[in-house]
Amino acid sequence: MTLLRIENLQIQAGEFQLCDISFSISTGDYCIMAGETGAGKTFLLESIIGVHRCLNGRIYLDEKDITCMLPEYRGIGIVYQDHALFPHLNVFNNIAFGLKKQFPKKKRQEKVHAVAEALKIDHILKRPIDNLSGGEKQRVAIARAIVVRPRLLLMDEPFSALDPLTRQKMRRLLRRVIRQHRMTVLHISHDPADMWLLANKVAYMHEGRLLQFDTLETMLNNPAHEKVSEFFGRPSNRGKRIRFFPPRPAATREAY
Amino acid sequence: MQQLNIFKLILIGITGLVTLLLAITIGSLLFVPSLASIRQNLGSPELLYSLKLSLCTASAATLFVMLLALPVGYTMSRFQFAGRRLVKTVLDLPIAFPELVLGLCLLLFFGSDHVAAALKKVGIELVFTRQAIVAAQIFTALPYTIRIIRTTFDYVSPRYEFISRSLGYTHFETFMRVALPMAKKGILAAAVIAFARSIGAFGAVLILAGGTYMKTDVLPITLFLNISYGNLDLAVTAGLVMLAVSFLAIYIFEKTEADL
Ligand SMILES: Nc1ncnc2c1ncn2[C@@H]1O[C@H](COP(=O)(O)OP(=O)(O)OP(=O)(O)O)[C@@H](O)[C@H]1O
Ligand SMILES: [Mg+2]
Repeated sequence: MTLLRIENLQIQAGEFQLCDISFSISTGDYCIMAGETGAGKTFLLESIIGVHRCLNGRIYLDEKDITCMLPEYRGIGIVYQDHALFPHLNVFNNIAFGLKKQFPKKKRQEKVHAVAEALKIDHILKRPIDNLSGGEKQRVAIARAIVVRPRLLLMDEPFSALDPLTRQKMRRLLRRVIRQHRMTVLHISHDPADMWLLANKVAYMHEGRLLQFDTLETMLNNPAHEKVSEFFGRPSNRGKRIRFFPPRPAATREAY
Repeated sequence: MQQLNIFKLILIGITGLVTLLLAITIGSLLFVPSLASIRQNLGSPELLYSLKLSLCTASAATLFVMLLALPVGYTMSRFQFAGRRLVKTVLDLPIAFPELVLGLCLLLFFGSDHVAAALKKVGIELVFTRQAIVAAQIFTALPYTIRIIRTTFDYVSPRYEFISRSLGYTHFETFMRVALPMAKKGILAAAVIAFARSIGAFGAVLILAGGTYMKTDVLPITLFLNISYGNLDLAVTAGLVMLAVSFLAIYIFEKTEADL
């Protein structure tokens, strides 16, 4: 079933413009979006949560037109690359932030503890956020977004600031939590491992346009655009891919 | 041996000279009157009156200024709208404006028949009264305060607010729960500057409120009146009191800026 459908979306930000973006995400999908810096990935995510005004096009969530709906009524969560944890709140209150309006204190505590346990941060709930490690901050940010059970979770390069080993652990943890909560995700990342191990769909953006949105296999074998093949590689006459895009990491596959 | 960086030495030298010059000028206030006369003047009815009046009017002005500067500063930091450039110019104009001209404008505006009549209906009689002091102080302090608050919000990434809204809080709730707490220190600093500017406002106060002895007689007016009477000691004492207030203000300001 289609969860998010975007039709011919066009949004302006100063000099920059998102042009004619169309795609749809089904319930349970895990989409990973890549693209050069400045392609407008972050801006697209912010447009989906609803903080930028659309010039043209429509956004549907569950077949309901939300193009003009205020962000607070959309139920779409976002996790930023730089965590953006509230500095004036401790870990517990950061995670509980989105629950304050709907749930009584007892219920809030239950929910926060449950999600903190799943993300292995239940031991730091009382800490202020400024002396957490990067990996801990990122988990707190993810916890804050998923504790309210958003209908759609958007993540903007959540692992890019982590070292490779932590990144691997985080990926595994995230995958488990996402499956557990049956969440639909749109995740921005340039990491082939993320695409291989998390995604069932992959997208590529360039200069405000969505060039291709498909399965990873199709992106690899049938790139729709020069830029896509630059990133994912393209089959040559001799059947080998010209550019390097690492194959599915076999060694870690069992671990997932 | 380390080679000499002559440019750096000269710059440090100039900075030292300027600091010395400022310190000597400000310090001269301390050396004119005798300690006994300062103590006596501090207890004089006129100074007590003007100190009290200054504190009251400046507090009231600060309150109004903050109520206005918060929404305006936030708007100028966050929103794009038609005519934004013009609005920004108008808001910044009074900073480069001579205070006396500002006072004259205020007098012409509030003294005009229509405005005066309209204000009288809601019980405000502005020109040459104590309320005029507050009004003049508000107009003097407002542009600076708006600037500080705008800069403060510029330093708070809007992403925090996007997150808050995606978690179900309305824009107003987000402002109260995220933007304000995160800008807390800058807002405190802005209030301190607003207060200090209000205490020190002279030109606009003199023109709009008139400098009436023991009526619209705030500290800067006391200073001015006493110089013209030739009562230098009382003038200096008023100056010292204002100096103390500004030192305190700058101290608090720097302290909050430091851990911003
Ligand atoms: N609010 C805004 N106002 C004006 N321009 C903006 C705004 N937000 C983004 N832009 C511009 O839009 C372009 C795309 O920015 P965006 O942050 O979405 O890129 P990105 O694909 O996320 O890049 P990166 O991979 O480096 O994060 C940039 O040129 C940026 O300067
Ligand atoms: Mg980005």
